[in-house]
Amino acid sequence: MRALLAIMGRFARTAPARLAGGILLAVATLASGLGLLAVSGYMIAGAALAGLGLIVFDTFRPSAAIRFFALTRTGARYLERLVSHDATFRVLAALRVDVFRGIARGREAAGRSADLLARLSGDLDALDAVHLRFAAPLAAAAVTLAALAAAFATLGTGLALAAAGPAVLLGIVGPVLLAVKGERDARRRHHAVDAVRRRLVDLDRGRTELAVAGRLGEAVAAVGAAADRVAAVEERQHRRDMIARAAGVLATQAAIAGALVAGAGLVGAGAVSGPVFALVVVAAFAIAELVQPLRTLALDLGRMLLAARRVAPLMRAGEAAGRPVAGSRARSAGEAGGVEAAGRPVAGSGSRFGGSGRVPAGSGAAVVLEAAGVAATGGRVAPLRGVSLRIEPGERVALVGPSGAGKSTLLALLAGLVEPAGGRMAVDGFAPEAGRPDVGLLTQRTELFRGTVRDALALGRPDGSDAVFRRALETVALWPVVEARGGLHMALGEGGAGLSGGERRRLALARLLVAEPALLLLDEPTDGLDAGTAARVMAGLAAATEGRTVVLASHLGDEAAFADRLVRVDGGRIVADARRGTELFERLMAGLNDRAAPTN
Amino acid sequence: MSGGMRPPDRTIPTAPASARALSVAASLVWIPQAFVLAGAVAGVVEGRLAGMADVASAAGLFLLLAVLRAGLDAWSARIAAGFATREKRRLRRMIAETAAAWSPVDATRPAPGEIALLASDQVESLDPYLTRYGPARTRLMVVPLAIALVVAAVSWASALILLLAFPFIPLFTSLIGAEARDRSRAQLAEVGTFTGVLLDRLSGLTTIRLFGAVDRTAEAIADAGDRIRRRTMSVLALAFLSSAVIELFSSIAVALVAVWVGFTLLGWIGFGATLAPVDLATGLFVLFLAPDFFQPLRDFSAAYHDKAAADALDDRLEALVRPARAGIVGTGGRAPTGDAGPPPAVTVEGLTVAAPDGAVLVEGVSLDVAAGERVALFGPSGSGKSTVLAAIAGLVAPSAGTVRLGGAAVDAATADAARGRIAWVGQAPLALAGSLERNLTLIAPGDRAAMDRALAAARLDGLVARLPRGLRTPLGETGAGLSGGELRRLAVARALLADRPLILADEPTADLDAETAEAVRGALAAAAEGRTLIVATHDPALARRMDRVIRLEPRAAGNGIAPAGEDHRTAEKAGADGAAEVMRAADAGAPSRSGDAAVVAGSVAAGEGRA
Repeated sequence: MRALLAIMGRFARTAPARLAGGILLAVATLASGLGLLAVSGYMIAGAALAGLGLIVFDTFRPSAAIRFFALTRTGARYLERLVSHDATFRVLAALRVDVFRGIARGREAAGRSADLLARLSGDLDALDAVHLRFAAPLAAAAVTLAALAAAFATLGTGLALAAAGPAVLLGIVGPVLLAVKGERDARRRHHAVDAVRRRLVDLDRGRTELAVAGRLGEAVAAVGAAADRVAAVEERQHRRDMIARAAGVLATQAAIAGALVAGAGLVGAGAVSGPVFALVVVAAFAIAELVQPLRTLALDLGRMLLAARRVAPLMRAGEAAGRPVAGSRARSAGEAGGVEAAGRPVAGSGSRFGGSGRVPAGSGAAVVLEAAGVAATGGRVAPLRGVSLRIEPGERVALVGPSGAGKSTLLALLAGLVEPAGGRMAVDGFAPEAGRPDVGLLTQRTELFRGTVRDALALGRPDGSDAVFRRALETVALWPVVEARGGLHMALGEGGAGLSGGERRRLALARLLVAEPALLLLDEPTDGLDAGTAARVMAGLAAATEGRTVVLASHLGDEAAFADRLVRVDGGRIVADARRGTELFERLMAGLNDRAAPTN
Repeated sequence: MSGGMRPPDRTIPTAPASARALSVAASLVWIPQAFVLAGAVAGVVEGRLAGMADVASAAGLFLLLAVLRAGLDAWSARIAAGFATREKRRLRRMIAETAAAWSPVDATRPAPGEIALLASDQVESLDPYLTRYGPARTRLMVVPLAIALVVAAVSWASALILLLAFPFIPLFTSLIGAEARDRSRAQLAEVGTFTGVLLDRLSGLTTIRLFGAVDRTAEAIADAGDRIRRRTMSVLALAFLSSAVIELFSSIAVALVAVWVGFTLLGWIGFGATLAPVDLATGLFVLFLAPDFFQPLRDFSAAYHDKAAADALDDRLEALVRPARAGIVGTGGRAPTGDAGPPPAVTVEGLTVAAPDGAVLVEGVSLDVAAGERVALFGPSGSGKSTVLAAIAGLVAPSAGTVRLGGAAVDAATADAARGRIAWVGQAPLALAGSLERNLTLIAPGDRAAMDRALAAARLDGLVARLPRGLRTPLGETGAGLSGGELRRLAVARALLADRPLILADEPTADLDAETAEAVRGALAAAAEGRTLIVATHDPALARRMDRVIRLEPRAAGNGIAPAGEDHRTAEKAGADGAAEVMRAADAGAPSRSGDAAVVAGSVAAGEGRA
């Protein structure tokens, strides 16, 4: 519940005026509906008495009020929905920014699995309803009921109690209690639905192995069992839902009956006139509209609480990170992971990484590693032990060796993506750190985003000109493809959809080139390209990185041939180091694979 | 909506008639309630009901009817909810059973995860439709008419007011709703959703960190959110109009009824009463009924949006689950017998496999493998090696031809038992969510010593020793933590542990670096001891290690005739020399054939990738 309150707090801080305005408009809507019926009852009763000649009745004001309420009810309802939704969307956008910052700044490794992302997405969607289906209806119902009770109380306390009492107990307290009681089932149901998904993924991915193992039937049964679990939880929820529904209906009906009896008493005592009595009874009708949105609370609240518990920590971290702090990159060189920087810092180190980081052609960074290591973390990254390596500015080095040997880990270490476990290291005199603009890494997995090609390249260089971007695309032999589809304005879908795998790879490479880092770390840069395209890309790369330091990881001969020095990594250690022209170099080259013909 | 294109029979049914009837009954209870209440109020106002006892008995009757109404409503909801639960369970089981029968070589299968999402979240989103839509539609057909008739019995003028207002509402709402739908479709394609934008960026978080662009990206997400909000609001501004129209017309109609009743009672209007002059009781009665005349329309307009979810799910079922696909032979259930027996001979005669869309994967393949023999099916991508292997394991039903294991045909009745003798080493082996040990013992359990022996033979002992949690190391949904080569060696270890007499290996060394590939070759060679082994591969070094190489030609594209003049000719050579010869021939012929192979590869390779 505290997590949910935190989320609601975020709502309140982000768009306080709009949210409050939405609730007031909701109250106005309810009040108009109430007024429309109540005044109608008042007028009819008054007209009846006047028609019998018992009283003199002014019909002008009631009929004007009826027309007024008919219009305000429509208008207020329409405006309320616009304002509430607009406010909610503002909060949703802000919440997503918070969550992004929270995850981006988090200590946990960058690679969140698709599974976790799917869960996060479900949670965020569940929280969308916090205001629209929980806070706003509850607040509007409470305010309207309080106003109604106060108005009735001026006629008689008993009347107020008789009409508002059942509405509060059955219409508001009841659903909330049921929701709290049902929270655990809502959570169980969510987990059971998730089990359906996970088990089907296993069945789908493992159909061959499962069939051969004779366990496909079991896998189907496991999905069925999860579906049964969902059904069993739902059965329990239905019972509560039934009670909540019945309570909602009875809340209104009991209030009407209460108003009838208490009002008749007041008429008998001469405290209230006939038309006002009719007004009171009919006003109680409006309670139906007020408590109806709360009926589904029993089903929704549990899911919201679960989502809030998982999202609130990310939100808090993100909100804290969002407050301006002097550039996170300005961390001093020696701080990262307690590793001492080898080499000599350049003067003015504080602002060293503050600028664009772009360096003119011909200036590469030196790399120094002394007994550096990376610990095994549950098999996620291949560990490194006692790696010592010195790379001179402008050198081109290829890391070779079997998969899982630690090539990618070594690149990630130099890029500051993994925590070092001891040793000394420096790139251009500074400890590696993610986000250094003078170091660029092309990750093995191509990561592109929704937006235009220009947006993609601007990630590498926010102030880049069209000419710069076009040149980079030409370097990686991608410009003809892009030019034919709208040039730099070509739109990319999520994950770069719209380009083929090989084209995405080359766009990511171009994005790295426009950043003009002094050290380029390339993890299998031409993976998935055919031989001809790969040759053109590597030639373009050679020209574009003239004088810069390049370290690439590869198991392909034509890719590694780019390098003047081969460093062989195996079992987390450097086991060979050879420069072009030596016999060892040739032997290492001979051990690399040929580029396979594309298989699809 | 796409409804016009499909046959009228909806596969997702609505709530049963009993739920619909009860929900109508619950709504209709309001008519006697309104009658009782109107009489009581009029009695009090006119001073006829002086005693509290009379009022209390009227209130009691009203409450009694209210309990009936609440009971009918809850009962209806209960039936509808139970129906929804059963229907969702049925859909989930149906999806799982259908998906389990699909052959792994069918390239048109939905991507992993699509089916899973369909069965979990998308089926879950059916709830409102299953529970609400049917009752709301029936109420819309019955309740307004019933109320109009009752009102007409009192006052034809009031009934006329209600009936005149009614047809305008669906007209306007459908116009407004259609435009809102078009706009929202255009908008979704253009800007995405709030969550989509976030997930898109999170999926590339490493890159964002590397470019030091966390803050820039946060701003970009905020900007995108702002754009999405503006566009969504422009759609909603229109969509909300449709419910505003309902509100407006119902409010105006209620107001008109109230004014008519009031003016009639004052004697200012002399027409409109049906049977008897309208008095206070009947006037209030009409007023009380008027809002409930419109309530079913409101309910239905809310439920109408639920139908969109059902239509969307139906479209997904149509696209993913209902199309005919190549299936496996048998059920994939556990083999009845315990003893797997001696290494079997494998005979394939005239095997043809065609996908339901007509694509021929292999045609007319025949081969003989002796018991205990080690054979490579050698050929370029697209020659159908993997499909032949899958057919031997009964993982795809042949369109023609037979497969025999140890002399017995593999058919629907025997396939499960036949698979009980087979171990499979796939190109992208499965890592189930669970521990390394669970994955190792997927086919058969084993004690610690047996597991260690299997791991050592598959050359995985070093890796397991390095892992901090050893055999208890969890493997993620996609087998995170193990490389492709390690996963394949795990599959070899699994095969060894299961001690099955026939091992089928599908491209076990594809896409591996030279050293890892060599480790897998060694592991396979060790596993083949005392077993029959068939390997589908285009790796010459692996083929060279086998006793015999069977070369598979790709089908020529277009005319179905291979370059040699015969479909799917197999060339066989015994021994290492023969293998070398076959491979030389393959190398020499490769350039001229590559065009054909690439075309056929389109369908086959995609299927292999998923297996």
